[in-house]
Amino acid sequence: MTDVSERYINRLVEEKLRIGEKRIPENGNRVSFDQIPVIPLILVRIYNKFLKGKI
Amino acid sequence: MGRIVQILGTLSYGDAIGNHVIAIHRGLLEKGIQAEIYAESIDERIGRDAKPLSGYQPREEDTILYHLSYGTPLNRSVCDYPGRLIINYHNITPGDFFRPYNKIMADQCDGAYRDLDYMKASADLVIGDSRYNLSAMKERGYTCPLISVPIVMDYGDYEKKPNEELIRRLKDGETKNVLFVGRIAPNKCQQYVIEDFYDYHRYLEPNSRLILVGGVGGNTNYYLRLKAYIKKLHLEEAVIFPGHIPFEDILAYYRAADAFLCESEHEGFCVPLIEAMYFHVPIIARDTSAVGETLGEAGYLFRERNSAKTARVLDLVIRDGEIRRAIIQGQDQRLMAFDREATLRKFLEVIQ
Repeated sequence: MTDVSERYINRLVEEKLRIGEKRIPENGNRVSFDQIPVIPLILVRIYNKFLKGKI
Repeated sequence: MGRIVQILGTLSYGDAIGNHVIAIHRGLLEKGIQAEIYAESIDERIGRDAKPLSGYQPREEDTILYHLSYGTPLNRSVCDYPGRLIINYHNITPGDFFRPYNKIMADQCDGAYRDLDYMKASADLVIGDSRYNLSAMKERGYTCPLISVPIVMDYGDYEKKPNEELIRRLKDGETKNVLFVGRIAPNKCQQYVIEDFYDYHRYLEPNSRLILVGGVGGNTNYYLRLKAYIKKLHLEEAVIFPGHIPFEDILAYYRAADAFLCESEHEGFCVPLIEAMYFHVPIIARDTSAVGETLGEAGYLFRERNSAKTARVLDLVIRDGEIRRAIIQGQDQRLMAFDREATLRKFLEVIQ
């Protein structure tokens, strides 16, 4: 693993972020991917058979 | 010295491993060394450089250079050939990434790791695309020499004509194009790229699009889950999956990209990072597996996932000329480490 804080570009970016305006809420209001269920296998098979390449 | 025989399961046309194999083959021939390529499956566009594996007549004095990147019975049967065995390990994705989506694929990957254990007693040398790849061999108890040499890139392909019409459509003077290139697969973590992009698109730059280039292959389930996620985030108009596309389109996406964003959790080398550097696209990437090693000091690298922060970095990298120039300059320097002639020379020295 790299020590990212030692990298020149990282230091430059961090400096600019510090003085920049934060406009994004830390946790956003976004849905997380974990809230999306894994698609049941039967639907995957239907997609592969009839819909792949069409939608 | 005897022949150097490259063996692999599938020899594809124009992909990173295919180009690497052909470059080594031609390099050997230029040095006057007898060289052959044998594969179980060969793309017909490869021509006479390669022959079907069924025609291989093993000789004691052969050096076999075996390219290993996925689970196949060949991983074990290659150990039965006489002669010196060099494994060129291009990485295997751990099965756990696939298990929630595709159990067959997960089992194949896990089987490939068991093949690594089986091959340990037969290998005389392992060449990894990265030190990260070699660490997997060390963990599995390989005692033969382990040497890291990057994949031999074929930059000539990148100078081919891109799809100009597509570039015109993408570079409309207003829309910011965020790009990730890599097959649609759970280890590439496109869901996190989407999450980062959501924050960027919603809070910082609504006039933006995310392009996720890559074939779906056997990962339909993961792909459909990504699509459902995009719908839930109301990003249907802003996120594009071009799918399996012609090479001229890939070139167009790179040429039109404002930033390359990588959240992948498992890469043995990550050729798209080299491609992004080649096309002067500033890279923002998470430091996992071999990603940091390939980038060296180039690009913006982060450790902890934080989509709000990554979105702000994305905005900065796209808007701020000083940052952008500094990143591209660093990437240009880093690219020199992957010079085709130098890596080919090193590779040929190692295998001889």
